[in-house]
Amino acid sequence: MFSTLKMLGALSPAERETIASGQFAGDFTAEALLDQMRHLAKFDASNDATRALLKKLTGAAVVGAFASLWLLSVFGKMMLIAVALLIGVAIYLGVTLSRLSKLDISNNFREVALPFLAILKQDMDPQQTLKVRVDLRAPTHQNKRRGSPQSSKGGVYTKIVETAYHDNWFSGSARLADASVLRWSVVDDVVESKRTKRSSSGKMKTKTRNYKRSTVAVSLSVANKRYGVAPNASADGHKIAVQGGAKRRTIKLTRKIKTKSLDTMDPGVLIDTVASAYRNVTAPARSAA
Amino acid sequence: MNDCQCKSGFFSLRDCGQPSLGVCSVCSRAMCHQHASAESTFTQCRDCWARANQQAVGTGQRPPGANRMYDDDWAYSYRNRYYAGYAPIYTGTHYHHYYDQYDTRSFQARSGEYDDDSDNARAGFGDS
Repeated sequence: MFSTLKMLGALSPAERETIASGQFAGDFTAEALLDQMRHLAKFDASNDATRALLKKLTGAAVVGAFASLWLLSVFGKMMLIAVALLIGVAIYLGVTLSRLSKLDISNNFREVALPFLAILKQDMDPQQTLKVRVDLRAPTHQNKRRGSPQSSKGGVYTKIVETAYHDNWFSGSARLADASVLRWSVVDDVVESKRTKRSSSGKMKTKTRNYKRSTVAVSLSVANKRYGVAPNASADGHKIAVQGGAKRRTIKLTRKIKTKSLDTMDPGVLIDTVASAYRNVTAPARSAA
Repeated sequence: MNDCQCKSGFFSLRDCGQPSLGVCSVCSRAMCHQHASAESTFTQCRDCWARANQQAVGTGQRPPGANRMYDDDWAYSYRNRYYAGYAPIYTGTHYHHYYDQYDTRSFQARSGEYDDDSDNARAGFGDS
């Protein structure tokens, strides 16, 4: 916990502002971008671990405080000190937990964006910059909600509330060392379903399920004098389109992935989509020169 | 002194071209500072370190998620693994048998034909 608080204290005002705004965006060289991202990712990983620990400790302190109140009648006023102490600890831990929760960064940042950009860096000249935008907020942040929650009934459930979220969390563009221009975007559409039913014991129980559809779009613009594009461009599992121009051709790929959780997608999906675009690149035809 | 004999890139491979600062203790190729693996204390090139790392992961000597900060050593390790199912385009001019196992789609860029101008380089995602 204290190491996380120490790291929090070491964050620069600009980094705090970035987290508070929920947006990481700009035009950077790959090295400078990754340095900044690694710093934030390290803090976020520590923050996640600390908050998980704090939740357990806060719960234990609250339970301990109630237990001490119950023992008050047995051990007398001496237990008052323990009660006061445990309530104080619970309040401190709860406030710290709340403070750190406000600084939480979506895991997409360090588990998808960071590894993808670390790979992309390999295909860039060191002095070349890339534009990037990463939304640091959770996929189910209130500002990402679309429409009003829909309420209904069905089956054993007395109430089903479904809320839709649109999370356009990652996009960017980069000019690569081979003069190709790569653009990408990742959009998650999430439906959060809260289902309430009466259990056999008569209690009302609510379960939350999430359904996520991730849309990965990649556009690779290649110079005709450097590369050609396969005449029958194809990509397994992707929707593909090729646009021609006098100097460049653009390969556009879109892939949709459905999951039943809010877990981050494998960064390999984004890497595979770019690789699929490159698989359709060939040696240029003489007529194109 | 020789130029670095390592190849840069991931989706396409290119010659490094930087002046070499040493020789890899495993493959004896000339390597520049950028292509020397920090995790091997700069005694091996990133490619050799990545290959050794893959074998270490396979034998359980190193956990697969040991490098979570996604540095260049991680990227080369990922590249070595990824090339089992992907053949990158090689745009360089210096053949080296070291990369034979990568099954690159080789062709030489024709000098003088490279044109950086673009007419629709800013094309977006929408279909035309």
